[in-house]
Amino acid sequence: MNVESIIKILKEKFTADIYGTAIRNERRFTIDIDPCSLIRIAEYLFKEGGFRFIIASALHTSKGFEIYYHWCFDQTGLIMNLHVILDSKEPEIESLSNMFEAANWIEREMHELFGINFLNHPNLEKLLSEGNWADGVYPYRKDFD
Amino acid sequence: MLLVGSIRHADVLLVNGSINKRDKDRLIEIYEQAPKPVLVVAIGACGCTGGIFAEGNTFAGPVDKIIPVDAYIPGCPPKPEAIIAGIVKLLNKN
Amino acid sequence: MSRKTLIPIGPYHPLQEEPELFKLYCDGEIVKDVKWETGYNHRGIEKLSESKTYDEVFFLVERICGICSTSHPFAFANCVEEIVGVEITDRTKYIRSIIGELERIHSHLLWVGLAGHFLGYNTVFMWAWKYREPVLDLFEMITGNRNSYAMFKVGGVRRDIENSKIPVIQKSMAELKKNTDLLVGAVMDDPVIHARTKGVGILTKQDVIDFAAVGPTARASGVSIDIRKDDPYAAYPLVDFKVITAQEGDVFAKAEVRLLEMYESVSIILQCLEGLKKEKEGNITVKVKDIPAGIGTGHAEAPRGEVFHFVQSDGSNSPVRHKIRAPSYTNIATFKKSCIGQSISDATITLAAVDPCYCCTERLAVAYDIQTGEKIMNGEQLVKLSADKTYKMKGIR
Repeated sequence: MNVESIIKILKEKFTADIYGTAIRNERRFTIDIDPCSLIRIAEYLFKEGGFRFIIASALHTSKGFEIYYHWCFDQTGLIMNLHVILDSKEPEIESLSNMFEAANWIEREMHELFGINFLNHPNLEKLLSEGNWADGVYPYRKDFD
Repeated sequence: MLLVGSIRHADVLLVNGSINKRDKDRLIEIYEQAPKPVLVVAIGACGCTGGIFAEGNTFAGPVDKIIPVDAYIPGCPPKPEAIIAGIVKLLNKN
Repeated sequence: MSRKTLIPIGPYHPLQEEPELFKLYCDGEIVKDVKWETGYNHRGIEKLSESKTYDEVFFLVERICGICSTSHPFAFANCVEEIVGVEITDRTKYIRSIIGELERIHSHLLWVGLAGHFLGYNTVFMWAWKYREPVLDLFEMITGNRNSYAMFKVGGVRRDIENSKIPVIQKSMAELKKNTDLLVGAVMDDPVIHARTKGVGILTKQDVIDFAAVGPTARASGVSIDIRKDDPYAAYPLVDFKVITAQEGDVFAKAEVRLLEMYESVSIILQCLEGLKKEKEGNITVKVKDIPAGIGTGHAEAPRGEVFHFVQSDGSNSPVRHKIRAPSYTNIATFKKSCIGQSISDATITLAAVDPCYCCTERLAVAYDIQTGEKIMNGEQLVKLSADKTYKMKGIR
């Protein structure tokens, strides 16, 4: 499976949910999706596609809270970034932790650092911040005025 | 020098690594539990000044801002010879 | 239920290198639940990265961890070089792989020593760390430091391995192979070690996939993932080596994978040294002027598994966002699965088998009574409990 064939399959299955794709080289690509389609696409990648979830990373930009979910297709060494943009006032998205454990800690971390709400997460408690910064402070947020 | 299981049996406290806000209270607690006199050694660049992590948002100050330090062993990381030399110097001084 | 003594020792104690708190809830002898607290070593590295230039970030990421110090610059270099789109020289590739493999060897030796210590085999601990010293000496000869080598930069490496040093490295590798044979013989054939580690701390293949575990932790459960083979980088496409896997997923399998991997690392190093001889000395950098805007992803196979770096650049001198995922971040979570249902005397070796690196992600296991909620044992006592179990099996004491 190479980059083009994966993009083709995903576009066929999730036509309405994918609004952008970017291929950087023959083993690296990004797909921009609608946040509400995350669960469906992640389910396909994890259960049928044979992709491994690496990690997720969030960034606060002028567009809102952008999350990249990084996936790896080990058999051919592809790395795919699934990109979503969340609302800047009330950033929230469905949690992936009920589908697989690998997302549990990173969603807690993103919640602590950025204040993103992961809906239906089994235990959205503090991971790192106890004593390191005050409650309600999201240290990785930026000021855009 | 022998490694002991409890701070209450210790004469020397070796502190290495940078101290973040979460560690700070525990470091003070450990220092207070140590029977005085106790010698404190700050090991490594992180212990001495915070090193490369000093500008981080969770940094709680180098060790000597939290508890009194008797010896500094710089290095990132300090070589084993440096650590031994530093401890020997400290023990000879006392 | 008899009352147990509460000993208030925090997440720091002399036998653990790094602080993290694992709370094991026990019913009698069996672990029923695991909770942990982390964040003791949170240094805000990802944020610090944004205030440093790309060249400076290498020095920062090297110090994420003392044991897997090279794998972070390795993944970061792969990541930034992907954004720039530069092709590094072959000599660079060989040097990078040599440093990476030397690190794998010293990390696995360190692990063997620790595992030996947790099981009560302090001689194994002493031997493993003694045989590790020549590897650290090699590092000092090549890079000037025993840890934190400052070898990587965007587009190349900062120091060359002169061809005159090659025979010294080859001789050291031959010695190491002999010493590893000794260690492997002592560890793998010992019936008490078999009894302590076989069937203990099992992580099933399904658990590995669910937790997305990586490295030897995954390979010991039959999941054959190794970035060096799956998405080859540096000199790995130019050399031959096997990916070591085992099927049982227990502590013994994890030990077996790590020990046998050391032989493969020695083989890779020797092949890279032959490759170096054919390359022009000094051809170790490619000039890179600017980092263009864009995103890059880079991963590398550290001793503990996949290290992943992600960088968002806007064309300036510093990363806009730098995400770092160390293998222990995913692997430590598997401790929950491999520990529950086991006896507490096996807790320390089960945790050690994951080879957790807390700088990369923190360590102390504390046992609580599930019914009274009282702390019954601290980390040091858990280690002692594990060692005592071995002595009982051997008929000593």
